[in-house]
This record gives sequence, C-alpha cells and structure tokens, in this order.
Amino acid sequence: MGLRRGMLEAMSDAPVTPEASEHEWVERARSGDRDAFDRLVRAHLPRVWKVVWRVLRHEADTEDVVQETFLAAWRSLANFRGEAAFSTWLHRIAVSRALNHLDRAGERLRRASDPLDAVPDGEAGRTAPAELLAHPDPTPLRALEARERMRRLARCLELLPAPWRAVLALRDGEGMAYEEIASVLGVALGTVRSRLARSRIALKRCVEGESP
Amino acid sequence: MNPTDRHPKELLSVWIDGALGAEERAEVDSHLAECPTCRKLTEELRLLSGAVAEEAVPPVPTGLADRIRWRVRGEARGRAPHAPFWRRAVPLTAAASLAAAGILVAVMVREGAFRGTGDPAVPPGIVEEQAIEAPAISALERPARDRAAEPTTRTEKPAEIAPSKAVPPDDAPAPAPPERWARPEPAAPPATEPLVPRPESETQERPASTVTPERTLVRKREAPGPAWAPVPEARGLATAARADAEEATWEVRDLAAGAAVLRDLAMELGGELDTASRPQLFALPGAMPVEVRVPAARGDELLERLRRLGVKGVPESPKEEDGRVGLLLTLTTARDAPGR
Repeated sequence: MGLRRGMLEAMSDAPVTPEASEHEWVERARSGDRDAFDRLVRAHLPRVWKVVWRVLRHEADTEDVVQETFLAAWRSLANFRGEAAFSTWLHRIAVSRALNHLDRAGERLRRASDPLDAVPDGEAGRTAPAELLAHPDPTPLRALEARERMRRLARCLELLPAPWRAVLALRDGEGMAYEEIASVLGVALGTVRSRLARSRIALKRCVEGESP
Repeated sequence: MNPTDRHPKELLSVWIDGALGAEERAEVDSHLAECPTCRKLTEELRLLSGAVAEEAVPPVPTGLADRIRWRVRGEARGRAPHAPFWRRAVPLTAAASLAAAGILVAVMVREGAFRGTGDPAVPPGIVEEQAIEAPAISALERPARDRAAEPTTRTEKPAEIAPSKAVPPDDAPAPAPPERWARPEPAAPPATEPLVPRPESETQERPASTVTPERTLVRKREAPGPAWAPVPEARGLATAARADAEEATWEVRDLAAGAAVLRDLAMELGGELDTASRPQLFALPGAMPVEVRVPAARGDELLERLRRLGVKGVPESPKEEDGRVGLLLTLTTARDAPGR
C-alpha cells in the first residue's frame, strides 16, 4: 500500500502538467502504465467533467459518461498518435460520448420525464457576473433581475440542441480557441463560427423570452 | 461588408471572441461604428457569453478519480482492453441467447411439456428450426432452477453499468468485480445430469420426424443479435421511402446503436460522426441522417470498413475537402426489424 499510494499521491500533488511532461505521461500510459494514466485522469478530470456536465446537465449521467470517457481513452490509447494535444483528443471522446448518450432513445424518454439538474437559487444569484448587476444603459438582458436571468439561462441551455450546448461549453465554458473546438468536434472552422453564432443568438432570444 | 447583410450576426459573435482576421475585424469595426443595433447585440452576446462561462457547474464528485482508476485496473486485468464493444457484444449476445433458450427448454422439459415422443402437445409445425442438443440443456438446468422466479430477459441484457462507489485500497488483491460491473459469462460445460433423463432405447426407437426433449425448440425465432446489427434483407418500401436514393444507407435494428458504431469507427480512424450538421428535425421517423468524416489519408479505409459493415451505396472513392473526407449516409430501420 505504502509505496504505491505514496507515488500516486506524489503524482496527484504535482503541479499542472506542462506539455512536455504530459507527453511523457501519455507515452508511459500508452505502454500500459496504469499509474501514468491515473495521473492523466487526475489532471484532466475537472475540465472533462465540466464539459460533459454542460452538455448533459445531469450529474449522474455526467459521472457515467465521464467514466466511460476515460475508460474509452484507456482502451484507445494505442490509436492516439499525438496529432492533436492529448486534452483535445480526450475532449473529443468526451463530447462524442456525451452526445451519443443523448442519442439513445431510452435516454431521451427518461430525460423527458426526469428533470435535469437545477441551478440552486443561491448559486444562481452568486454566480451572476458582476457586470450584469449594474449598467447605465440596460439591454433587455440586463433589465432582467440577475437571479431570474441565470435561471432562464439554465433553462434555455437545456432547451438548446445538445451539439449547440457542446460548442458553447467548449468556447464559453472552457475558453477553447476556435481551431481546437473544430478539432474536438471534428468540424470545419466555419462550422464552429456559424454554430456558435446560432447558439448564442438562440440563447439570447430564449433568455429574453422568445422561443430558442 | 455585404450590403444585404445589414447585421452580420455571425461575424459579431466571432468578433466578441477576438477571433476575426484583420480584414474582417476592420469591416466589423467600421460597421459597429455606424450601427447601434449591432453594438447592442455585441454587448448582449458578450454578456451571455460571460454568463455561460460563470454558470455554476456541480463539483467533481468525491472519489470519481478513484472509481475511474479502479475501472481501468479492472479493465486491464480481465478483459481484452482494446476490443471494440461490438466485437465483445457478439459472443456475449450469443451466450445470452443460448442461456435464454436453454432456460426455456429446461423449464418446458421440467413441466413435462414434451414428455414422450410424438407428444400431441407439440404442434407438428414446431420442428427443429434451431435444435439444442442435450448437453446444452443439462448445462443450463441448474441456473434455470435457481433463477426460476426471474424474468429470463435479464439474461439477455449485458451488464454495462456504472460501478459502485466503494473504492478499494490500493494494494488490495484483485477482487471479483462488483456485480454491476460483471458481464455475463458464457455457459459452463455440462456438470449435471438432465432433469428428465430419457431411456436410451426410447430415443433410439423414435422415428426421425418426431420431437424429443433433447432436440426441442424453437419456433422460428431469430437470435437477438446486437442492436446495431444490419437487418438481413432489405425491407423495400419502408427503407426506400426514408433514404435519399443518392446517398449511402445503412439499415440497422436500432438507430442509436448504429450511430454509436459509426461514431466509434470514425473515432478509431481519427475522425468523427456528425449528427448535428444535417437536418435531424426533418428526418422521417426511423431514419437518422449523419455524416462521417475522417482525415483524407484514411478515407479509403473508411469506405472499406463501411462496406464491410453492410452500408449500401458507399462510393468507390472518397471526396476530399480541406484534408478530410466526409460521407453522408442515412441510418434507417424497418418497423418490423427485430430488435426494435
């Protein structure tokens, strides 16, 4: 117990992986080193979790898909050629699995009758961007009370098509560059631009009270 | 700026991300200087973008990394780690089918449904479409007895479930995986005698056309293959009506499972399956238009793999665009296809 746990803890406590050392961990994982893969899991889990949750908006489903994502990554490491960054490759699997999860007919049925995660009132109020709270020239969005705005935002995000939520999650949630989003989603750069614009316009309309 | 496009919303969305090239940015800057509507829109888009970024996301559950590690360790120990799920699913499904058939036969034998040769209870039409030999029956009798109260369909469903939350210590010996992780194992070799052993003389004297307990079953029943499996023969009208004649089509039992196969194939080849770029909303029921895209270098391999899967209308050569090749295809499923 001692030695292995000590090694894992030491790895877990290591600072965020710079590219060069991550490459090393990936290579070790590719050769079958499960501890190296565990290191990669711990480094990337928070971001993968956020992206998958933003697509699925359901905690239990997110946990399932995140587990499947890393399991699939472990199984497919042999196919990882390093053409994209490891994180890009991992996000590609994650988004793909999340969308696939929603594709299942049974899942659609279940979600239709099972409410998604609601943003707690306190959270909504607390997480409203400060700039939303006061502005000299309020737009329709600004005119909404912050908590109400965040509640509507959460509801409208649920109503958006999942691939649109995915692009918003990657761009606005994770701050990815358009090129990386294109690589994760496997679409052309122009598709990212147009899909993102459509998502944002639809979201704005919805939050303002129009149908998305 | 295109004069007909008075409010270039797409460019405004890119503009707030600072992702426009110099030329486009200058155009948008100039437009914004004159257009209060677009200035307001950019402000709102920026506001929304910030709100999405700051939306509360539940924290990563405690112990999730450990659960993933545990699953990876289990994966590395027992099963073939790199076999795609559909390759694993086939033997599992076959084993499950055999088990289900065996249980059914065992129950029927036990109930005496077919006791004796030439039993009038056996309709003449039910002859050996899919005969099960005696050893298979005996092998499955004990589980059938033990699980008599359970619905037999449970045996047909491979367990692919999230693990329990318990996290074992690092140096624990490799335990048997929790029940929820376990996949059904193939039936063990026969270890018990049949429930209703028959005198050898009786079976030998029986006319060839009669039905015996050892060679019983099953009314023309299609084995429940994997859900993505192609439907054996074209269903004619239903399929033709749903798919564009110019496009590749793949008839499957379950659209989502078929899409999952294509997605995994695309990813294996370094590409992706796009279900969003095509108008799903306008797809007819039982059809799913998708696009498979892979790097151009693997285009031929994609087409070959699709042909092997049974996709119809796969073109001879891939069409390349921007270093990638894409193939539009429509998944279809016939209403009477098994597995629906």
